[in-house]
Amino acid sequence: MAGLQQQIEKEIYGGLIPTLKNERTFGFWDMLMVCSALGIATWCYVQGGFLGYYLNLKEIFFNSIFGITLGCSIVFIPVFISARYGIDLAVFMRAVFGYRGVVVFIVATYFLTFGFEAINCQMFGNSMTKLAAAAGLNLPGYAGPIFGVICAILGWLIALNGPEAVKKVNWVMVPCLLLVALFIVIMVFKDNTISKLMAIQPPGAGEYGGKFTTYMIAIEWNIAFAISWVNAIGSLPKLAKSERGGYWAFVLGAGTVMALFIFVGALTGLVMAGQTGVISDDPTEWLVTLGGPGLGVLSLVMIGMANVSTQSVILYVVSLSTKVANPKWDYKKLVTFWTVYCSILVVWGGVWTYYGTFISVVGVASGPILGLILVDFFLLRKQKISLYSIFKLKGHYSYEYTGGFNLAAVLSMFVGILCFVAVYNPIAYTVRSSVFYFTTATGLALVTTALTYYILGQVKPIRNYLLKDRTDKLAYVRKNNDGISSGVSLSTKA
Amino acid sequence: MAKGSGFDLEVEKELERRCDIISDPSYEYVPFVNKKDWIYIVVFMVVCLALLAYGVS
Repeated sequence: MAGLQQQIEKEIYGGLIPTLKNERTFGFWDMLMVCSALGIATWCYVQGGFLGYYLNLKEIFFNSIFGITLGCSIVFIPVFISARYGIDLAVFMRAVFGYRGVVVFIVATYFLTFGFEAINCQMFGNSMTKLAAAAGLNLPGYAGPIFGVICAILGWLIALNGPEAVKKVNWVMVPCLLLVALFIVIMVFKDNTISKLMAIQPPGAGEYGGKFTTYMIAIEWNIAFAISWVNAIGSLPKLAKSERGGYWAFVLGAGTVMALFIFVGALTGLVMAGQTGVISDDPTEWLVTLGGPGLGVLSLVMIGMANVSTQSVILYVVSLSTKVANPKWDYKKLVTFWTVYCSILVVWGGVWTYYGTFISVVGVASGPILGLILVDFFLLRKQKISLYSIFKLKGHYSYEYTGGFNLAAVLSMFVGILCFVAVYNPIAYTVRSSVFYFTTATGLALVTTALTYYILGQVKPIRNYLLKDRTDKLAYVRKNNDGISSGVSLSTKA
Repeated sequence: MAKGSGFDLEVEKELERRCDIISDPSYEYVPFVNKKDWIYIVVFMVVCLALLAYGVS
């Protein structure tokens, strides 16, 4: 009996069972550490290096810091849903997409966005081969992918032990990663003044039709990068002690801290191009070139640690969310499955080669998903959901829709995708319509999807189709006249 | 311990129990966002947008 109880407890933190208020373990600072570890990975440097090719210092600073933070302040609004009900966001998405639709759209999106983890592991591989070279060992070309797979395995070992292990690892790793960023900034500024940095012209300046167009395309990449995080929210917020604590931890941790690292990456790439004439989006090249043997090697070690910590957090989050497809799937087997998939991508190496297209394709998928979630929960359902239907309990199946698919959501999503490609070519990075300059393609996809879904929800037969859960017993915050939940004591602090 | 139909039944029972608790009007949710929070969020977004626009000027 005790063994069964322990397994039930594992399902609370390592499965889809909702957490109650007294079971939340992550305060704002805990969540900030984990989210920062989630965000700080060497894909930031790849994104930064990518930007540094096209933008000057001022443009990089404002575009990366405020573009990413703005995108994240929108994409992490669904954190409220997960934190409020103590459920994985992918579980809520059953209400948006239907029981089968959620499996198709969400799990397919995970297959796509695992490309980020592959880049993460590849970078670990590059760090290790360069460290070996610094120690006098010239390893063969296949050593990089082998080390990349080792990174995936190390992340697997941590993730197998669940959220507490992930939390402990990240309390050590995150401060180390901040030190790396500090080292890089010191390396850059010890030989360069601000005015000298401002004078460096990026190699690809104006490559896409002029300064403004290039800046907007960079915003598109940053917004797409930020919006793709909708798939990474997962079940972390179900551990949050308050909604606002969870939200701001995500925005500042996975958002602003990540943006700072992107800026540092872009800055370093720009400086390296200016000083050496070598254009690279590989931070391991920058660190050794600019840092020399001492600082460069230390930075590579820290980068390696960053990669492993991020791998563990993403594996935990995605594996839990994948249980939406089948709650009976074992968490540890899912962690193993995603590790193997990531290793295959690492060995292939194609995600990094086609990085710009990869980012755009991720934006095409993620923008509409976010638009649907926001409209569905806040505007159509008015923040009231049926947990019985979400978990298919007591004969409640309000989210079955049509064969398990919410056709209104599917249609809205296609409208969003069409609008995306109507204004922007993600393969050739070309702008097709001036609307792009006001909304970006990802922003337009999000807005048109949301608008279409909202309008469809105003048509009575479709509204009835979408809101079958109104006859269930709904879960929602009841407010008294002071705007405080009737169940919340006045002394409760966020 | 191998998971079998006994475990699945227990999980479903636990899920039902928790859904009953959370859906009950007396359930105490974690501190939730209020109007003031939303104002701060919108102001934060507007500031980010303004600074983003400044970057290209």
